Amino acid sequence: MIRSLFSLFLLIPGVSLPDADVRRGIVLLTITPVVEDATRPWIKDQGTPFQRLGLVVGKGKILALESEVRGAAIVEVRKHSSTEAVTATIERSDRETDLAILSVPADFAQDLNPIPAGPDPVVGETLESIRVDGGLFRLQRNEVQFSEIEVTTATGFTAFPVGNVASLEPFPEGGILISKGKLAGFVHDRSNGRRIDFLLPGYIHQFLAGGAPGSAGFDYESLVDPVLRRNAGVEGRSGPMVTRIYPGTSAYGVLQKGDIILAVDGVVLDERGFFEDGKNGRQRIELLLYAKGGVTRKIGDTVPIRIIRAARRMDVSFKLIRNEGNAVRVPIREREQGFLVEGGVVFLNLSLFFLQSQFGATYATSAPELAYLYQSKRFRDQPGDDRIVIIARVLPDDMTLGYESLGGAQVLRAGNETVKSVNHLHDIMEAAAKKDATLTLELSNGRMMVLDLKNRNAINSRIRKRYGVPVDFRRASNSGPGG
Amino acid sequence: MARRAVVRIDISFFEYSYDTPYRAPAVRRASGTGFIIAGKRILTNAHVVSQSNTIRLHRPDQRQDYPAHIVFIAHDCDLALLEADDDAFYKDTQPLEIGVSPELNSPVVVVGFPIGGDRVSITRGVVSRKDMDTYAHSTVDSHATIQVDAAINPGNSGGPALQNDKVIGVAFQSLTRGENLGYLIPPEVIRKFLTDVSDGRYDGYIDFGTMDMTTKNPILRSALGLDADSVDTGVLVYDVLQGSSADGFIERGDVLLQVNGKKLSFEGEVDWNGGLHPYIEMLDNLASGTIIEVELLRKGKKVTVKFPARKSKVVDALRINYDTAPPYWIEAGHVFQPLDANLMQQNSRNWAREGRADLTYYYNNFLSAGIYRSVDGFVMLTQRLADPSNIYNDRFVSQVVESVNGEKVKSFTHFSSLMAAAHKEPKITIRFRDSAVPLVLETASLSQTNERIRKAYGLTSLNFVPGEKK
Repeated sequence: MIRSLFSLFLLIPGVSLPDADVRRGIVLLTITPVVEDATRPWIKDQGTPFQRLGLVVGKGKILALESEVRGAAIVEVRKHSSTEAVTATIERSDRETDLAILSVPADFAQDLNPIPAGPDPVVGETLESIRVDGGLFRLQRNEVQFSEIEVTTATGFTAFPVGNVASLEPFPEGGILISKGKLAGFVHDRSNGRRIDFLLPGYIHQFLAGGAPGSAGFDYESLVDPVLRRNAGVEGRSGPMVTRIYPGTSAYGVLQKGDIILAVDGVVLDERGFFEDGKNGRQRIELLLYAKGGVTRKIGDTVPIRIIRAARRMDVSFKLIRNEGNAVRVPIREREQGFLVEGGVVFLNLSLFFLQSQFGATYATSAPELAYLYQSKRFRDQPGDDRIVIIARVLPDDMTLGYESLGGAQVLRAGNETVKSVNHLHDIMEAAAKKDATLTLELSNGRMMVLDLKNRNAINSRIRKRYGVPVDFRRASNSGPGG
Repeated sequence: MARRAVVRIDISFFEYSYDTPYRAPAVRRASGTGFIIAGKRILTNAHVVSQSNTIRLHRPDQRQDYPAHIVFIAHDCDLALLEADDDAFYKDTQPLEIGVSPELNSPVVVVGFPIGGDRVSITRGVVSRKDMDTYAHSTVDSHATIQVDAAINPGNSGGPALQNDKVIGVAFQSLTRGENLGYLIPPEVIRKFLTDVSDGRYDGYIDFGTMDMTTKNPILRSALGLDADSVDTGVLVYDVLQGSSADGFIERGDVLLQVNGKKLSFEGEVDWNGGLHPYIEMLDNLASGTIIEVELLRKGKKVTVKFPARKSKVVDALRINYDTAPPYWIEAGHVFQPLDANLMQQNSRNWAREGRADLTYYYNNFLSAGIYRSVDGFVMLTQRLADPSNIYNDRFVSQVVESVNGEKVKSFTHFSSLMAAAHKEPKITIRFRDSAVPLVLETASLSQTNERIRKAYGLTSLNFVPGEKK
């Protein structure tokens, strides 16, 4: 008797989301990526198409991961109720939050309906994971345990919160998480085997409402060691110590290196930067900057902070702003890869994408000079737009004789000017071509290169023809937040 | 007959571990080959007798073996001279003579004691190639070598390669990637070594000191003012090593046209010794103080400069150290070591796996990026000997030291003197290159802590600083 009553309870509508509602709330995306050659960015190949689950978030609006739809040749959308496929266009995307909104034609979206979003789930809660296999929209539903909240910087500069579930099932095509009949998460990273990262509903909501605040913009280190605390002029307990502030972020101009953070918005931190979250147990400071008391913060919100500076307690506050990306000097990847091909030499702004494509996962050993530049110069301490300009490739030509071994060198100066970016190098080149016959480039380790400006047009046109380069110069876009 | 001059060298040697620099070294045994030359001396490889504890010489035709000692050792060219302690060792021997560089494709006989053994082993081959190559013993020095196809195995090292009973090379290394690729130290390098030590001191190799690039590029050539009558000539100097022969005489931007009357190709080759060779090879065997004459193009004008050949100390930082035990400094359980060639050799793979591009960069680009101009060497906190006083400090392990009490660290010796002085201050603040948080040690309890750690880990000494008098 008791048993049957129990099973009846589980079937109460509203607690479990019916299959039909799930099917109306999701679509299948077939994404055909474009693969770019790292040292010859003008060459673009079609990549292997792959499938991902898309989440319906409004009339004709589909949520997808920015990193997966970025620069795709085509994104095809399929739904449960027909075999029809339409192409989606990217309406808005943000590489820092790794989210994008796609739009599909209204008549296609008629029988699609968003799954109602619930609050952020609580650590320890049992959630239901839903995956979908290929075209038939057969749903696979499993129970999973919400194990922890993490902070990731996997897609760029912004540190954002992701939930974490352990699952025996893989999520090759993405998936969603449901709690009490409502959306509790959107699968983000499946690369860690049985550990699945998912985006929290509050985070998604923040994005839909106009963009997430992003990183507060500072690094900190623990002050657990009492000797370090005494050294910082603190007796007894304290919070963590601010070790770096990134330009163009909320904390820039407010916090200082060496500040000790005691409390954020009235919530006391420990020496490691953890606080006691009512529902989720001990959590990191980043989560306090993402939400307080279950309410996600918005851009423009003011966050009061209590600090110790120079052994004095004081209250400061910063306003949450969007990251404009001017903290990043060497991006993970440029939004639009700029390049300059002059006299047979290919110049690029250094990016992690270049390092990884050119030297593989072991780039730190195969290209220590560039890897060191990436590791040590990745972020700026002051606002600015300077990049690291490198020689990506030396194309064989009479004009590049003797320069063959200069690939991978950094370009420090051109003529009398410090080279700040590929765009800047192009401007220097244009200006110099009007008055000078040659331009001398100073490279890292003291080496140098002289380019012919007098016959520039003829040389560049020969190089374009021989190597199929469509244009000599493509302006690098500002990498945007986090680049 | 010549075979009688070839002897087996049995040694016991200290094997230091750079993972545990504070431990006494292990003692191991090994053997190599050497041969008797004029003046009752035995020539062998430096690596055969490096870090030796005892050396004994064994002649295949003698029942007894004899103790010996090192007279001169040259790690930069992997040669050493030994002397037997007892004259009886030399009885009835005929010293070997050093010959001249052999012709390509001429036959050679390599004599030695490969893989130990009591009896002498002889392998035959021909001279396959003569080239400049790296000497693995020091890892940074390059000199002339002779490549032969005779098998050279461990134990052969230090043995003579003979042609008509004259030494035309000393077997010293083989290429593990190839088959039957043995390498000999050629007669000119042997002779230079013997001449160098004839005044009772080994001075070592000189450093010419220029870093240059080809002027093959037509635009570069015309920008440098290389005119039509200097076709095929010149290398562009882009850096000059501090303290080297060229320092103060040759400048960045100069184009080298002739060295000691030999015209340079635009790849830096000279017609010398019956073929084209890098000019550096031609200068390699110059004795310290020899005048070098260089014709160069400076700002479009031909200039001739003359200067004495000399050795630069900055290269020493990159050589493997065989002369002392591993240097270290332990403070409150934190082990500091110089980031030298020995430490790099032991750990470079691990660091590569950890993606430590900084360490590879500092080491590989020490000379080329001019890092040596600001520091003589780096100091690293390599490990933490656990103690209640340092339980929070794992974050500093593998970090490179920047300063001690605000003073920039310039070398390990400098670091150790800063640390010694800092003991008189209330606290020692050690900052690291990549950590915003410093390591702070309060000196009031420091000697007590050090003593506790010394006892707990059975350390004989809390530091070893080479060259420092205790």
